[in-house]
Amino acid sequence: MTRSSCLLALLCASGCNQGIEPMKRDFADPPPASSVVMVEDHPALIPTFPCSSCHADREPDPRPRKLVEYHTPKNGFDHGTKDGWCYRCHSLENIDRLRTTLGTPVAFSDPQDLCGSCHGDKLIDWKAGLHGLNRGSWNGPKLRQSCTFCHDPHKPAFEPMVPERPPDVLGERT
Amino acid sequence: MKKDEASCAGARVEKLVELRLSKDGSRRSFLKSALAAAVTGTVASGCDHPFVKDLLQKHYKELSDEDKKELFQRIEQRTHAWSGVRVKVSDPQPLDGVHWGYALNLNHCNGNRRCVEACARENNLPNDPEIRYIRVVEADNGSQHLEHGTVNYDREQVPEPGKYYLPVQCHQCRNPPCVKACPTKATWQEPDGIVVVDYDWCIGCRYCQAACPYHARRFNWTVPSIEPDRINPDQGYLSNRIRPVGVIEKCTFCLHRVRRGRYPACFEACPTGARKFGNLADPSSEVRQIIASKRVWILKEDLGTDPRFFYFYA
Repeated sequence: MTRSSCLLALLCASGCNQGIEPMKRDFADPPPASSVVMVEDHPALIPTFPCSSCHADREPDPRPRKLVEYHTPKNGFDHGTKDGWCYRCHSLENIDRLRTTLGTPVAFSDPQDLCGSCHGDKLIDWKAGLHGLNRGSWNGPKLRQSCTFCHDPHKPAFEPMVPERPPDVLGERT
Repeated sequence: MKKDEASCAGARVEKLVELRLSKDGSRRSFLKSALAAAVTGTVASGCDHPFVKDLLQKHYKELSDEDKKELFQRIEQRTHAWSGVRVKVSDPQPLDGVHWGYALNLNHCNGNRRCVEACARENNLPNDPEIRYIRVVEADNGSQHLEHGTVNYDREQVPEPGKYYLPVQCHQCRNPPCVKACPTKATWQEPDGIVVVDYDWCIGCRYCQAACPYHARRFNWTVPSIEPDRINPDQGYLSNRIRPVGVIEKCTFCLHRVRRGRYPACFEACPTGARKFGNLADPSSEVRQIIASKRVWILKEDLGTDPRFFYFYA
């Protein structure tokens, strides 16, 4: 046995136990994750839904123009490019329906199909439970909320929030 | 210790005292004997007294089911006596094949501190002096220098432009420095990865607090004051039961909830959906998918603590 191998053996014998213990990654037989996912029904964003109750008698005007009043609680529009217009997302043929970028009609109760036609990455994440709010049980049925629960479709960015008070913790004041 | 054992021990000490008194002794030896006799008398005659039971209580891992039942009842009665609230103390056991993991989306966190408050409510955290398990660090965008950040930001609205928010709580490390530091084995890692504290075994030396690189442990400097209407009656022996003075406490991922299939309180309180929780051993769980598909990092990776708490951007 050479000197270096002796040294190595000595190091192993004396030092191995003092290092970081090997991590235990015993991942045998994980319980199956529940695949039961329900999407919570969302109440209508505006009280005047269905839209056809007023718009059925009106001829739709597809020409983009400046609107001063919107039907949504937060008046205004700030979503995507500025040349966006009502009929990019609302169906011209059936005012009680939405439409994807390809023109596929979408029900108001399934806004994720419309939102996902532009924000595909977010739709993939949402379907996997990585985006948005999950309720229920980590190993049981889950309740998922669709896009318009949290995002106003006309102004989807989150509004600033009022935070809870700062901590008053001993020794943590800076 | 059983009652007959205590009586037996008491009898032994009494015999020693008799022997000592029969000899010529100094004042000191007499005082020792008298003290021993007094302790013996207490032990022998008052085994049912809660004080004696507290004194003779075993480590959590050595408790039998019967011991636990009696102990939990004692805690429930004690809480009811001072607060008038009927609480239920239990110790849900780790689940087979479950290794907890937490992931937090820094793109979505806006520093609103809802998680901090929900955690305080769930875990019976006192307000005076205030104890909070989660600290939200506000730091400059593009900076990893958390020491230049602050946890005491007081703003009318969040998020502040140019800042990002990083909540820090117990990371439930796989290689926990706090557990190694404990001289009394009052803190240990459960099979599902949660690092817990036996509050009745903790001597309050705070070595673990010094050892934790995430500042995740809190010390009860005074008797924790909590208003009766804030008491959460669903209490875990190793998690959110009301702590005594002079002991360390910490986040347990809401052990009493998650081991029964529920999500932690901070998870449910988050209004932005930044928090994700699940079983690391389950490839279809949300945390596993995040680790597989997102840009994930851990805090103070260079320390080798190997946390179960992951930060990501998505």
